[in-house]
Amino acid sequence: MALPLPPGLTPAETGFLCETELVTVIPRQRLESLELLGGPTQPLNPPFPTPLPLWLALLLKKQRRANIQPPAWLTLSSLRTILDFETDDRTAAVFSPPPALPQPTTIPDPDLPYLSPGTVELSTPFLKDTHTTSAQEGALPYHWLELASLLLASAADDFPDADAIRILIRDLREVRMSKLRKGFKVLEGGAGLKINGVGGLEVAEVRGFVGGVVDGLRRLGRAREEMRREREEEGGDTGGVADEDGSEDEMGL
Amino acid sequence: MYLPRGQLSQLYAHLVKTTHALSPPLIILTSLGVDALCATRILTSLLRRDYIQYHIEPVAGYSELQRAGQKFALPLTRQRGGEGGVVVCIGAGGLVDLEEVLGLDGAEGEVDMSDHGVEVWVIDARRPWNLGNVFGSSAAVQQGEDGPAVLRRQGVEQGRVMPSYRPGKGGVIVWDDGEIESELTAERDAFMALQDMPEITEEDLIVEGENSEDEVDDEEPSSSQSRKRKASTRDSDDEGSDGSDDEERPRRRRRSNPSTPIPSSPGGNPQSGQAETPSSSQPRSPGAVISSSPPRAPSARSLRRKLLKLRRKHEATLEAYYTLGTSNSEPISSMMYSLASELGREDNDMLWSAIVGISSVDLSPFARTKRRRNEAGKRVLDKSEQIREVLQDEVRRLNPVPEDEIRRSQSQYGVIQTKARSPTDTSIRLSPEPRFLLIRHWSLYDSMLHSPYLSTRLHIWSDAGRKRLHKLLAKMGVSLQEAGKGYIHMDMALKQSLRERILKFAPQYNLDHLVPGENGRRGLEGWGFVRSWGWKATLSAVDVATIASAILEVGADPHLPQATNTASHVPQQSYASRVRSLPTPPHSDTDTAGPAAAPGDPDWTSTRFYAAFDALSPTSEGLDKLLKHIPSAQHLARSILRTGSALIAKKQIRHLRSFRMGVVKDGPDTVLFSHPGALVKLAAWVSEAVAVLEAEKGRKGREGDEALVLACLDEARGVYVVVGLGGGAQGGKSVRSKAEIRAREDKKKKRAEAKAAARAARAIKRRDRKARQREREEALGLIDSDAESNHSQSESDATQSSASSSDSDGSGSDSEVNEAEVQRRKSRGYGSNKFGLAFQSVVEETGARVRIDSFEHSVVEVRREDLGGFLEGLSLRGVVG
Repeated sequence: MALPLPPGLTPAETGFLCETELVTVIPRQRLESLELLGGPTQPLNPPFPTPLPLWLALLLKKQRRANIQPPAWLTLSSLRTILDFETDDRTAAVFSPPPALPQPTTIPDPDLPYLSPGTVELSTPFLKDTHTTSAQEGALPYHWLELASLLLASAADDFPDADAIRILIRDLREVRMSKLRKGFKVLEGGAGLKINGVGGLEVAEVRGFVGGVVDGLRRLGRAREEMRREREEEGGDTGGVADEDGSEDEMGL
Repeated sequence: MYLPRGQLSQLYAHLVKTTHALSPPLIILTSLGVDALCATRILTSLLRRDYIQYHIEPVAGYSELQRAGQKFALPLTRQRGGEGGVVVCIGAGGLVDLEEVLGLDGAEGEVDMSDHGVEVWVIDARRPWNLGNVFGSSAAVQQGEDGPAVLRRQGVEQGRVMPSYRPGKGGVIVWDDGEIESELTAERDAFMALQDMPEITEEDLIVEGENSEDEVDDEEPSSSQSRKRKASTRDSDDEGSDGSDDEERPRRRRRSNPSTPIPSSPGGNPQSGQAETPSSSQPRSPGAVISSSPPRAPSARSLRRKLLKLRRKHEATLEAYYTLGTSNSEPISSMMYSLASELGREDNDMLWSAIVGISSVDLSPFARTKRRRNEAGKRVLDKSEQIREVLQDEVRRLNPVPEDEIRRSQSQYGVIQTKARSPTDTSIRLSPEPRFLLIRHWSLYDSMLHSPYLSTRLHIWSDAGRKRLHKLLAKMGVSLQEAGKGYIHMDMALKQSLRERILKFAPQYNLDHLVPGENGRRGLEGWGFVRSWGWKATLSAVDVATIASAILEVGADPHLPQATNTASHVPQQSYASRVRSLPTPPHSDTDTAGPAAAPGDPDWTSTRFYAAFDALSPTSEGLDKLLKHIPSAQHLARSILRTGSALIAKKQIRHLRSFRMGVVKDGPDTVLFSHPGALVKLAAWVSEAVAVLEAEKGRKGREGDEALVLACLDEARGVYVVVGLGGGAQGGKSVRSKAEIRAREDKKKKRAEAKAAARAARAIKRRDRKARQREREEALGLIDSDAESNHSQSESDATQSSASSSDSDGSGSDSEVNEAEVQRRKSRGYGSNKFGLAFQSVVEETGARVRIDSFEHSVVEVRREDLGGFLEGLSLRGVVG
């Protein structure tokens, strides 16, 4: 592929992925159930709130056929608690926790084959209902930044106080990015970075940099490693040659 | 047909359901007015959201409307290979028979235009409606052989579109704002009865009478309803068994009577077409056959006589409706907003469009309505006030005020808003807007000086008036230097207390309603609307309407006004060249064929239209365009003040018998005022000033006194643009005469007048009863005298009622209606502009070369040489007002 894009997902692509998430809409018009690839949607019956994929919700919003209800975590109070958590000194090292995983519905059975449908439990990017009104309050889901910016861009009038939310989202983003960046230091030592609760867009954002750093470090490390290994090999084979070489050099000088 | 208010969304919903990617685009014909523009904005945003293609075509007058019909509507017809479609007329052509104007009736070709499939939706605020549009069931029904059965269309009942109506056959559908349903019942009955009736005149009877003279009328005259039923049953009973020669005669007459002059001469007079509508729609009544041997009627002759009488009566009803004069009803942008809200699709942008449209209507002098009082003496809100209240509620619903704002606003309650709450704030707010002009974009002094309300009441045209303005400012504690600054940059403390200061001192200067007070249902009566575009700007609806109409009137190029006298010739010349070919005789065909616009001239209509249309867009680009044109609006305001002051200071307003008259011949601004819209604004200013002068002298004039005719010379074309403003102007309403005593006297006089009016009304009632009696007697005698006596009666009525200080010219002619009807009519005719009719008849009398093309019938163009004769004829007519 000749696409001049860096590896990984661009922000637009992440946003596109986010558009499959379900959000709650309050319809203004009736709409029969639609047969979509991801399954049929619920019929719309004003004024009952209904979950719909975000892309459809945005389309209806643009046509003024529905209003989008912001998810529970995208409210002033919820965002404020999250921001407090993020800026607290005691929790300076960790990100705010992602929404709690649902109770496991299956019992791990070692006899079942690997990844059989019976044993699969959903985890973060695939959790249900993380962006609807029934989402968990006070926990940022995987697509929090994408969803917030999409909603603020095209459905700002559905927020009671869009500007304050915009400010909070911005604050959160900066706090978390600085945390991420602070974590980069440990990469030098080849150590891992714990990024539990990080969002999709944040991953996409740092992927290029972190990947580059790790890659560069690996390359540097490889050169050193190879040299070391060579040296080791040489050292292992002929213990005294190195000394001789050194003396030869000295002699050559 | 008409679409009742309750089913407003029916047609649109059907359109949405049936449109597909290959359907022809909707044709939107929009007149050039801010209200129509705003309505178009609302409609197009609805269409865009439903993915319906549309094409906007601005039309400035009847000739352009006709051309648009040729160009867009005809290709849609099934006869021309189209598949039908929808044409929406916004603010255009409600007063004329649209099928004829658009060429859909097939009058020109010999093609049978039945079932042409083009639906014409008419949304117009101008009244009177063309009843052919409203109640006629359209050309889709043709003079078929199968009799009146085809007349009834599926789902249409007495012209009313029922929920079972299936669109697609075509025809004119008028969108009713509630008025047709509630007020036009008499007209509807008359129209329907006429449609069922055969064409019959006195001649028929005379011819017939020679043969048989021995009939006796032995039937009691019955109510119109039963008569009508009888007439229709009679029609259906006998299928033209013997009346072959009778059938011939009316047919011939139909053909020899080319009903309306509009299709033949677009520049001709639509009013005459309108007045003739009842008869012109008559040819469509298909198998109407005069019976000579009804089953149980005593004789053909007496029946026929009765029929003729009935016919005359119905025609008189329709005639009375048409002679009420032109007036304005509910603004079209408010109609369109109702459509959007019925669809549940309204939003802030649409609401703003509606508000701007309604504000522009409030500014125009054509839409003044009477302030009525109900039985309890409490003032009943007129229609525009009701709409305003509804809009205030809508604003509150769609723009909830944040809590802290409510707390904060207690302290600065009543300060006009000049900035947004936040950079993304695009909300609409209520604000106590003073009646200053463009205050956010001008200095306080200029904005006060150019406000028509203030300048007319303070007599700004004289030195004393200016001094008075300075004194008012001084009393308010505003130094002239401070007032000369831009309002935005004025002292904060001053701005915050400005409203209280005005409220305190304005009454001393007869400026009672300069700022809205705290009365009304929620203490917000008369409050204006303000919208913010983030930090970019905050504009009031009135200012937006002013600027947009200035774009339409002054020109689309915002840089012109700076170089006033020389450069502003350019757009005017292009306008001039567009209509250069003034028809020499009235009703001439010349300018349909003649090249209306020389090649190379910019299209005057569409450039200005689109400039204004873009400026009204709710986006920030639209805002930029709007702000760019503020100088145009200021330029126009300055010119109005300058010219108006000159007219009044030089006493160039002459008082004729029934109206006042002024002519703008020279001065720097004649070029500007050769545009009708600008001239209308000037006329509004002058008439307000005159009304104020009159009221201050203590003369509470009759309404006719406020009528004003203003003419302006358009040098380039050698024509005068003439504008007539009828009575009902609000000017003197709130002006108190200088001395309190005099005011009290006035009140007394008024009471006496009211008593006199009541007495007169009683007299009318008595006379009506007598008249009815006499008629009954006359019905037994000669019928030929009927019309005459009716006529003379109406004249005496007119004189009588004019003595009772009301303009019941229209009501006089239908003397058969009962007293309640008369009262209703009186109140209905109030505030309507009769100059359209007057101009019309004067043209017929004097043969002056006049061009009546504007949708506003009281705006005409008169040849330079013919102005004298025209005005003379007008003053002699004397029934104006």
